[in-house]
Amino acid sequence: MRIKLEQHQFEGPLDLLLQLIEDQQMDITALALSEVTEQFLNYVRSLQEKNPTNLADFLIIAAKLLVIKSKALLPNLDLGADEEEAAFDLTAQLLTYKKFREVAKFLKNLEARRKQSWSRETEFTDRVTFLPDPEVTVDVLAGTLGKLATELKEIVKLPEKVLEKVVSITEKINHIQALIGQKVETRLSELLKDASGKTDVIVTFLALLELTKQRILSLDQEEKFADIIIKKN
Amino acid sequence: MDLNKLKSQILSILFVASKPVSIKELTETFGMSESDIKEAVEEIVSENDTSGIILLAHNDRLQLASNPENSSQVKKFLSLELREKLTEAALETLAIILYKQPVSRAEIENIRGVNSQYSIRQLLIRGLIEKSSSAQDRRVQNYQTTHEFMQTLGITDMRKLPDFETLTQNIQLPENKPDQS
Repeated sequence: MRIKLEQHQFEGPLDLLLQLIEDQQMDITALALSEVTEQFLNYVRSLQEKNPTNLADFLIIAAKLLVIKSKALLPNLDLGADEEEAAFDLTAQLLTYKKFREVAKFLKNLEARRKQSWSRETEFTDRVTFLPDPEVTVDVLAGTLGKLATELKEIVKLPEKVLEKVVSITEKINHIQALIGQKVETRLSELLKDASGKTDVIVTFLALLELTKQRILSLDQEEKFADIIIKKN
Repeated sequence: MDLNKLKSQILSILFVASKPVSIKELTETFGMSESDIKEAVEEIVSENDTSGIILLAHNDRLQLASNPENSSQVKKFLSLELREKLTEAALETLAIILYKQPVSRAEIENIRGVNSQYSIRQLLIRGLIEKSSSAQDRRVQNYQTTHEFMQTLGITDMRKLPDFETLTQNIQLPENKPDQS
């Protein structure tokens, strides 16, 4: 029977439990549950390796089973009211689940009849009707159109602006690395000599910080506000 | 208004509307009470078995659809392929939603004892269930069945579905309480 269990893919822990109990031809009772605990745990162990997707769900039930099993072996064991209640709920839970499985079977039969109905897919698009204002004459329309045309002219004549070239930090890092490859030591002022603007300065500085963080460069400064000396590590 | 006339007018509106129409929309259109509209609707639903076009009433929304008895002819006409069958997991989830609706995901997973996110999404994609927010707590998403659910399984009247108790009467605990053994 072990082989059969391992081949079958169970929908969940309750599916497995029901199968185990039905194989033993037992009713859903706490006693039956404690009987199949061992097999349940074996399945969970195999699941751990093969398909751990719903493992957590299986473990919750395994814990409840162990409470029931302990209680069956040691009737005087006091596990606290909450634990025991949660465990004995399992019989009720299993019963409810079995009922819904029965309903699922019913739905499956309904589906198997292949009797289906369809609703209309057609849509009536609204018929477009045009009812002009009596005051609208050819002259009025021509005037409105002329006004629209002048307004459009202004929209078309939008001010033009050229997008500035942006230097990315990655580009700057590559640039600095190439530069420091040639010289052993350089200075920040040297790097900023050809800076095209404030953005360029900021990007250069960020690139320096990144390279320092990656321990590719080290920075040194002799005193406050002095030029920063950049060395290769 | 004469009941037959009201039925006829409701059918006309439902024919023109391609989407489900709510009872509320009809009360506004006719300026009549909800109970009057519902009476007419119930009459139309009771004639579903003998009609080629049936009225699906679900969650106070109405939609016309073809009679599932004519399924094979319609399928042939539309040259439709058979759709993929629902998986066991999806059927279980659908069963819970059908008899517990509106029901939250937590409750579904409590009954199934396993994460049901995937099954719920599958059912949502196929249009068999839909989300609705809980009346008590707007933060809670609930799930309920749809017109598409009725159509897919060929259900012509939700009240014709068997009771949960009838369906599951064979599944009972043994006479003696389990924890007394």
